[in-house]
Amino acid sequence: MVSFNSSEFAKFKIIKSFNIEAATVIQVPRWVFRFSKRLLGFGMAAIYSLYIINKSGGLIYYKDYGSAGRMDTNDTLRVASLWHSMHAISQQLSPVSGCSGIELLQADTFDLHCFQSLTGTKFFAVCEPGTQQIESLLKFVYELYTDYVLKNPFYEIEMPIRCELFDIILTQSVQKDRVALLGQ
Amino acid sequence: MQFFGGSEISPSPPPPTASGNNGHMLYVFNRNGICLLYREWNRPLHTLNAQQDHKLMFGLLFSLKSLTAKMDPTSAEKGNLGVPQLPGQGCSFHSFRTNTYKLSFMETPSGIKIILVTHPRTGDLRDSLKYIYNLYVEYVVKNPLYTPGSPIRSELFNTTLDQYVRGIA
Repeated sequence: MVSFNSSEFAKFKIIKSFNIEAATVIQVPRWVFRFSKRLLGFGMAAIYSLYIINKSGGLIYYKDYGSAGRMDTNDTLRVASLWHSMHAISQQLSPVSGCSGIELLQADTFDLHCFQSLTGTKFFAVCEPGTQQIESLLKFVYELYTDYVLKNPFYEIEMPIRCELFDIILTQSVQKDRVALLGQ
Repeated sequence: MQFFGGSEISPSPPPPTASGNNGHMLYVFNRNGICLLYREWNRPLHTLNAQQDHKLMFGLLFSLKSLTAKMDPTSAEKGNLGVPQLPGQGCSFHSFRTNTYKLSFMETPSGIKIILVTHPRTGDLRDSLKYIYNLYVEYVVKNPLYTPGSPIRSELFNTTLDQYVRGIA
């Protein structure tokens, strides 16, 4: 976990209060790049999209990284709440006790990795079949979520995420992997 | 279409992907959602009665299939969410994994669904499911006394199946 040092937090406050074009002010901390490099070392492949749903199944964050035939907003909401229910049903069908829901769904053309935090917020990513390291990426996204969303004093819990810093850092860390992939 | 390439049937069972007695249960559904066969080898936890459990399982598979068909990131034309699809139409799925079990799924062109629930660390069971389908064709469909759509009551099929699943998972 990172904590804001005073200068970073100051920047954060300035952006929030004066609504300055965020990209011009923010410098991404070094550790973000370090993490991206770590992912690259394992040869990370493409992510198609990323979803975050709150504990009652509402979509609070959706990002598409270039899947064919983009879904409209209503469809993403439906898909997210459908996933929430499927996750719950899979726990009921477990043959042994202590089931915490689907972690990986392997479809014909994609893999869906899901990570559920202790508070019930679910993070799931749609990626190419056979992609490794998505679990650690989701945990990293969770870390970003706790640092840049939950610590944002203007964020209302369980509501859609509109935090510029979170957006920027997430996009940068995911896009870096994609750019590296295209260059291969 | 993800159906088997060509008409070849695998005459010998695929090699085991895990050793030990890790198979939990197996379901066979027909395309109307009727549970033709339910086998249970190792299931300590029963949350529902048998009928409710089968309904819930079929519902989960149906909904997951419409979810994967809608989510498919490689095709632009996906239709609407929840519209029923023919077997083989749209993007389907072959397995999912939780922390306590792994469910492998296969749908045949005639809409027969075979579901095998095993230990979460079992490998890819797609070939094994094809082999189980093969057993179904040999022992059930080719049986002249079997009425299609009715629950399977074949002692020979059950014992062969038990033996095979004990060997693979």
